[in-house]
Amino acid sequence: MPQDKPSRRTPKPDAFEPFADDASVRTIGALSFENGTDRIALHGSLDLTRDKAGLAQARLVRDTLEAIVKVLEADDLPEAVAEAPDAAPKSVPNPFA
Amino acid sequence: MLVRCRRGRFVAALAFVTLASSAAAQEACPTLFAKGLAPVLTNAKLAARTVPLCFEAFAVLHSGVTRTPLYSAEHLTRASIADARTVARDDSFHEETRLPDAERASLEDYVRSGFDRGHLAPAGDMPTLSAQAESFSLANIVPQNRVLNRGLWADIEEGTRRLATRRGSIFVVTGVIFSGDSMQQIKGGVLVPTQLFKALYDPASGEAGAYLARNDDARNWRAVSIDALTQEAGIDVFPGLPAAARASAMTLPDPQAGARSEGHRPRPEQSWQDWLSRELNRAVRKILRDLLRSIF
Repeated sequence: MPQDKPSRRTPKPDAFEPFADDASVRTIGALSFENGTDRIALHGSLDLTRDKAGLAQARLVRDTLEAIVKVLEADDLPEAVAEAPDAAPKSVPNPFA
Repeated sequence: MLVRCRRGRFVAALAFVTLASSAAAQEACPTLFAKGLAPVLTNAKLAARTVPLCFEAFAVLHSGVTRTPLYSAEHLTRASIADARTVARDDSFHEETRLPDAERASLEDYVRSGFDRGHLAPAGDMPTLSAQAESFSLANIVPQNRVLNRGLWADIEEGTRRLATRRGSIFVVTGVIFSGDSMQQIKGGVLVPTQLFKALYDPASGEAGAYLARNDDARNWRAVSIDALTQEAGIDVFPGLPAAARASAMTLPDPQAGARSEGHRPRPEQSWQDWLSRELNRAVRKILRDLLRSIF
């Protein structure tokens, strides 16, 4: 059965499903989890303050990581996914020169 | 394969482009621009297949040639930054459906391309949840070096927000430069910019200047004047500014002075001559301002 390209799958609004698509992003403070079908990129920074907001954020970070670990544990994982890009960028003449 | 299919729809796309650009002619959001004036393309070649798009909290000029924005414009205020200190939320990168298929980037163009999807108008600047969601439109995204996007550039963005909080109001134009004889192109015909810039204008002091960084992992940046930026980018980002404000670069916040100070990052070189000319410039501007004020 022909499978739809993973990145074509539209992510559900307001739902970060680890490794389900190449589009969704969860933002917690200035920390973001960029979803991908073969990697999730974490970038930015976050202050976990010793207050109620800090607790809510800490829980969300934990829940997000837990969901990621769960998917990874359930998967039949390869040793490593490809590090190199699918194809090296092409060199083309500068259209503006 | 996808690209080939799109080419088949070239005629339909052309018709749509005509429609889109006439619709775009009406698309204006002057409050996002310094003195209400959108940037002017001084390199006429950049103007090919461009479409201006307004969003809730930023405007872009999109190029169908590069399938990226050429610039984004924002007006940051103390209040908008306070609102932007966000609660947690989920968003998603998405294609810009206001642009014709044959002119825009698609999600798969960036997947495993080796580049980050770099925002021009950063998500962290957005004052509302809907504005933040819009910032993930691929019409606001360029292929950006990973190290630059997550390091120096993130710090420049944060420094800009802090400056807007201190000064109260800042106009920002973030853009890309394609320089050299040949360019890198990822899937779907998306061109990789060679440099990124972030130009700031403080309407209260009348000062302006821009950060300029190569799209690589060197972590180097330069401060340039608006005149110098116009030369390098082929884009006059603040056409309404008087000559004096364009000729010298304001003192830009040091992105390394941010909260994240780990790692070594080289400082921009600055000699005492630079300092002297900047101080002289500032004194002359102040005298002029005071003079004008006493006349009127």
